[in-house]
Amino acid sequence: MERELLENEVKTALAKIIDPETRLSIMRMGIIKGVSINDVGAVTVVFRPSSPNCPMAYALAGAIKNTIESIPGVKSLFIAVENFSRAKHLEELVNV
Amino acid sequence: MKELTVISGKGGTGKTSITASFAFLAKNRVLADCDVDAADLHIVTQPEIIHQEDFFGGKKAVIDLDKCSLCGICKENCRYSAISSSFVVDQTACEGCALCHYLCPESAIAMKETLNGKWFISNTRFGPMVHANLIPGEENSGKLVALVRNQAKMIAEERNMDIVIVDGAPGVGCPVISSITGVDHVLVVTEPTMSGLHDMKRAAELVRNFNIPISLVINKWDIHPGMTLKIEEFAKSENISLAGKIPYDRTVTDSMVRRRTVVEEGPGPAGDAIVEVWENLNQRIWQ
Repeated sequence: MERELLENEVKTALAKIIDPETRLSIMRMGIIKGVSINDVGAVTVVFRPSSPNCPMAYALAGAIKNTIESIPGVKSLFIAVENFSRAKHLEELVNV
Repeated sequence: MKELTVISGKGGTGKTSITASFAFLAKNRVLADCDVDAADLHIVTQPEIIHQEDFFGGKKAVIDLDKCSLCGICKENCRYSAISSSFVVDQTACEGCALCHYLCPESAIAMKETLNGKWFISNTRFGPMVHANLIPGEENSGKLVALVRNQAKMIAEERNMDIVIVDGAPGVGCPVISSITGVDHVLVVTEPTMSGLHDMKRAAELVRNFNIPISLVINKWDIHPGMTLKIEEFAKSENISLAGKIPYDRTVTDSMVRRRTVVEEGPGPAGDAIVEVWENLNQRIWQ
């Protein structure tokens, strides 16, 4: 139950991040492809920028990281980046 | 799911007429009209709008005259001559650069969000379509294109559809770049004129910069066979595959008047050629 509550909290927080290009929430943009949380509060988010060369990918990944890590109950975070030309580099930067 | 964008370089080459025919020929597709500065795919597809939203793409300067000391720094430095002698910002001339906002010693200039247009999700006889209208004179069409494409892709993913067909903008500017980045294939439509050749070269160069597979179609090829030959030679030298040549055919205009696609009119010189182009493209997109 607690895990479900935390998952809802994470999704609600992510929905408040606005893509500066389209001015839509990143949840409405469909660029968050998955949110999962285990029993000890470790969160995994799958982030797929809208294009392989998305100029806002780094800024959005930073916003996702700051937003989720500030939620009480979140013990750790891993952002998996998909379909982005510098996915590995971005993952290394945000998952420290 | 694949994404095909149709662009032209030069305007008026028949890009949207060909895109509309692809909409008829394709199965299980979503349409995205990304020519948001002068959208016209809806004329043929006759969409029934099921969702619409305002688009706020940028900010423009607004001067608070109660705080303004009339020093004139903003007016002197505005590169767009958008500030009048009575310190009112012309909202059409303002480009939203915010220089005046940063320079104002009285902090009297705010940057306010402006309505740039509307975007829509519709049902058409060809399936779902995402489209938009930019308000005349408004900026940020590239951002609106990004939004339209994103929403079309989302629909395609949710409904497990095979292809998103994007009608791009003419030219090589921001909306064109926004409509081709990350797509699977780009089709450049050109015509046998000097400007058609010139602008096609620029469009092809742009697509090449993004490492996207590119095909070419020459529309109304028989109005100037000599120029058509030049275009074909250019395509060969640049290793651009020719998807086909469409002859001049009065049926194209007649079908447009009836708000139908050319291929819906049945067999004919242009319609048959477009079917062939579509088959060639499909082989390249799915190979």
